[in-house]
Amino acid sequence: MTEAAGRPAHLAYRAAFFAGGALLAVSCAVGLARAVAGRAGLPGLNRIDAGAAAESYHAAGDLAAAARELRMVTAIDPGDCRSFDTLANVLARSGDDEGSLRVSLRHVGLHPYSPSAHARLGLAFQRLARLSEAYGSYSMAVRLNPGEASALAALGDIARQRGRLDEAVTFYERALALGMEAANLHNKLAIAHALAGRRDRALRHFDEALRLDPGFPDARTNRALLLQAGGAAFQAP
Amino acid sequence: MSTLALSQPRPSAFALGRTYLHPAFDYLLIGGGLSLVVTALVATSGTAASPLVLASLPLIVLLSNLAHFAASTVRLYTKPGAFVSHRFLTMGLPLVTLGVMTLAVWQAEALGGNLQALYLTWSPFHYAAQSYGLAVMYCYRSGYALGAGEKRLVRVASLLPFLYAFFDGHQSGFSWLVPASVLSTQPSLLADASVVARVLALATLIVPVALLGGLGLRRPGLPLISLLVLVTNGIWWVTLRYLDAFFWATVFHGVQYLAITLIFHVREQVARPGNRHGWLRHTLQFYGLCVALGYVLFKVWPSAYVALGFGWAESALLATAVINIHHFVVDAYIWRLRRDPNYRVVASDAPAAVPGAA
Repeated sequence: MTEAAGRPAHLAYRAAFFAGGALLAVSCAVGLARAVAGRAGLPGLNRIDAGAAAESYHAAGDLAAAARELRMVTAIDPGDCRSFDTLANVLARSGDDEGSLRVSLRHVGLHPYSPSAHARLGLAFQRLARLSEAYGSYSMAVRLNPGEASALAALGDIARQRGRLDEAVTFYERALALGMEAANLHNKLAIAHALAGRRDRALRHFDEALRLDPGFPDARTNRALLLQAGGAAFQAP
Repeated sequence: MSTLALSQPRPSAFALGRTYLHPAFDYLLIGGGLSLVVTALVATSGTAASPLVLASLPLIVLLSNLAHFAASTVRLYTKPGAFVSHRFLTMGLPLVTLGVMTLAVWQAEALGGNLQALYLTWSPFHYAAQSYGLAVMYCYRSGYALGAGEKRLVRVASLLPFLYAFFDGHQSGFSWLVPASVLSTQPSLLADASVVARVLALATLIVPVALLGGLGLRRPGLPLISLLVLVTNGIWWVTLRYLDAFFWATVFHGVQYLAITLIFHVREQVARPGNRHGWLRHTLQFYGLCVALGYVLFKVWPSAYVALGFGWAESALLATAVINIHHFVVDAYIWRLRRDPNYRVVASDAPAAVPGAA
């Protein structure tokens, strides 16, 4: 009686087993064919990187496809800070500054103690010309990590745009002390000094920028402008 | 007539216990002793990896971590009588797993995050359950029968790393299960959880020594390896996570799992009537299957969903989550001792129970 009653259940289990086994086998065969066709060989042993396809699309200039992949990574694995950062960057590159801001805000909401998340949010605000909010975000990034050189440089840019030239110089010098992109920073420092009427210091920093990167066109042009027209050539926006 | 009373040396709280292969093998690989050496290297030098080790990492991961996920499945299907004793697990779960994976990939934005959070929440519990199982198993094997109360003590000690991870996780555990609406209205909850996590981190490192030490002092002879597996798991979760080197914990958890699974499998197979092969053949066959299945599941299976038109991101992430969850479910059933062939392997060559067990 019990055995007879259990038979349909057993048959159902067997059917499920064969269906599951067959589907798994077929999907693995399809997966193998897809992987081999895509890579011209068996999949490598490298770490499973969910953002790998996004990086390929990004490198190939397909920003929409890269954004789609990255949106999925951030939806499934909100702990992946790098993907949030790349997604905000991809959206900004494709002209969707509002989208970039939304992603950056979500990133900061999920990782309120991440200096790079605040720095990225600052950049998103800055691109939308919301300078007060950008300043606040960059300041938070520096507060969380005093070594966040890109945020210091950005704070210098905002201070310079607001005409607070001594403050800008201080931020640039702090970023410089952290070893960040020296030629570019020397160029920025030079502009801040030029705007403040400190011609000699400006020239010294343009020269330093050109010494570090002799092909740096901005520094070359700016230096020439300073020599021709003086500090008035650099009008703060 | 006078008698001379000889003072008996006080028996030690801990004993070496009865190991499976050799004390060095059991203590280093199953107990996790080797992982403590690597943890010390990571803590002192920042990395335990020479350029050669770094270059070999993908291979190390395949041979330990990925193979260990497959090992529970291979163990299930090679375990004597599993199709009868675990009908759903052997025959129903594969189809259910495929269904869950397909549904999750299809509705990745809505379901994917929850599946990922479930796997991340469950993972430290799985580690804790493994350390508890091993600790109790070595007690049984060493004839140190644990009473119900004593088992509870071991259970409490083993669960601390899970509780720590539960309150410390940013995308799992507490911060996943408490609704976002509650967290947004009461942001101090997350700070409170962080304080709880810090207390639990400390407890994770101290309580197992205190509880099992107390147990050993009350009733000497507790196998030291039972304490070692608990302490090791705590150090993995607290120290390696803090050092951003949890990757090594996954490697050693895999090694631990593979070692004990192989021992059980090989002993069962060698003891089968009509067996004509030696232990090496059974070892290589089982381990080879685990490595091959691990490779196929993690490296090949996600591409099937890409071929169906889904993105690589959801296919790769959710395949990893689903394989983990399948492993956790299977593992919860295949290591039971009561009325199970496992008991024969644990009890084989075991000494008589230590008298005075609660």
